[in-house]
Amino acid sequence: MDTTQLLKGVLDVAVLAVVAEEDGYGYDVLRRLRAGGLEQVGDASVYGTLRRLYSSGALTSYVVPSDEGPHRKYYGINAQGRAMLAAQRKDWFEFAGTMSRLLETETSR
Amino acid sequence: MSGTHAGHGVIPDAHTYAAEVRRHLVGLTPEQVDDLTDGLEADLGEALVDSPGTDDLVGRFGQPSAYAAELRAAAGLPDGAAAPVRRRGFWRWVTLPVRAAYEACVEGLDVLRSQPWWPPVGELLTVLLPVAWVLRGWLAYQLVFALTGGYTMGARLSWAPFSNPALFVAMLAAILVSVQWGRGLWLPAGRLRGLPRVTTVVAVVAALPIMATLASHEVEYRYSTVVEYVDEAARVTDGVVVGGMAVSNLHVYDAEGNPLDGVQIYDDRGRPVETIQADGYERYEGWSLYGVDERWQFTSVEDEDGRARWNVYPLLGAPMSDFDEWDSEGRPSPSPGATMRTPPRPFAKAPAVPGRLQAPEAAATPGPADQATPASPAPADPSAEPEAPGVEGAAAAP
Repeated sequence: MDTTQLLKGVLDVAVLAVVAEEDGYGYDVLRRLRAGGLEQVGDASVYGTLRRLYSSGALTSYVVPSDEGPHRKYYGINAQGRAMLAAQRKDWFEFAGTMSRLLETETSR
Repeated sequence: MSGTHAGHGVIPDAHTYAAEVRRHLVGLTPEQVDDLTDGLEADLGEALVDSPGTDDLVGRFGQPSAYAAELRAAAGLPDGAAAPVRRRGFWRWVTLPVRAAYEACVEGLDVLRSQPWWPPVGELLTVLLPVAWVLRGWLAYQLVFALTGGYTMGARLSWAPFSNPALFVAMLAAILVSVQWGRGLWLPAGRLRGLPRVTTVVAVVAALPIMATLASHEVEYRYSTVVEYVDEAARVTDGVVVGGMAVSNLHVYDAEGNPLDGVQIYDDRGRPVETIQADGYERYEGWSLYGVDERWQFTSVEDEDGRARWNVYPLLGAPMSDFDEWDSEGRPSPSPGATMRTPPRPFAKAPAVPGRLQAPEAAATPGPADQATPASPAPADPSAEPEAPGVEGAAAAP
């Protein structure tokens, strides 16, 4: 199934969760999301989401020099981001529970 | 590929690619575009480093349009094709030039961004951005002032209304709001969301007219003070002024109303009354006479002591075309063959003044003449009448 449509609404919380686990730069976050199962997630979605979360104040950012290439911009979560993550995590579980119940009822009929 | 990892670690191609991506984000506000693409170049470079073997951005990330679409989608923004709000015919027409100009600007910017010299210039401009915010606020204030009843508060359009505290505060407030908008704060929500952008466009459009108006006002103020100064000066320098106008020539009529010629006029202190100033504008450009197309120039006459006299009226002269030479001062002087003549008189004969039609000896005694003076104009005063040439036989017909 094409999960890109489903991903739209939850990419923010997914990125928050990954960054909350450990600070990371764009490509690193992308890799961890893919490793976590979101294989179809695109570069632009992740980078864009990181920048958006940063500019809305949910993430902090710092630059780490790199020997081999460009300096890397690391993102880390802050208090606001944690609060956002907690709220969205709760929303997700409620929503997922609701959907699960609905769908289970549907199939068991 | 060329220049990979150069300079600050941003691949030059990444600039082009990022510019293309931004171009495909047309329809979003500048703030949204910044949110989505700020640091995009660095991210692109970083992603390339992490996936060895591919140096081709398009090969790695796909077309910029697709990348832009993904950015939009991930941010929950409408995609490019659907982005323009469907307006009804009229508004589409009204906003068409604005939208076209905006898109042209965006494209122009993209072209600039892809230039190799852009990054330092872009950085400089970014540093100067706050100046633009201040200017925007100031222009908005000036525009509102000019369009609303700013004048009714007794203030004039000025660069800064120092003399009016209320207006000064208003100006500062406008600048403050503009700067805050620039910093992404205090942004209006809902229907007024577009206000900052509209303000920017209007400020840019109105900048020139406002500056020009302010500049011309300034000149006007200066000019008006100069005029006053000259006015003041005209009162104390030489010349004859009637009704605020400098007089070029005097036409003298006797009590019977007949024109006199070669009349010398002095004031009560014996100073010659001269209409024409040695360095007056008219000495160079000539005088415009009432009802005569060509301007005239006048000449002095020599008295028996050899002095040039300018108080013998009417002054003789000729049209400017007869003055095609210049004297040592650069003033026009008559060509050798030109004849100087009496300019057209205002009227061939003036109304007679019977109260002054007296025997020559009576006119010389002040007594009876004083009683008639209030009714008669000054030129009748000089006792030149007896020696005046050209006086015709006194055939009074009362």
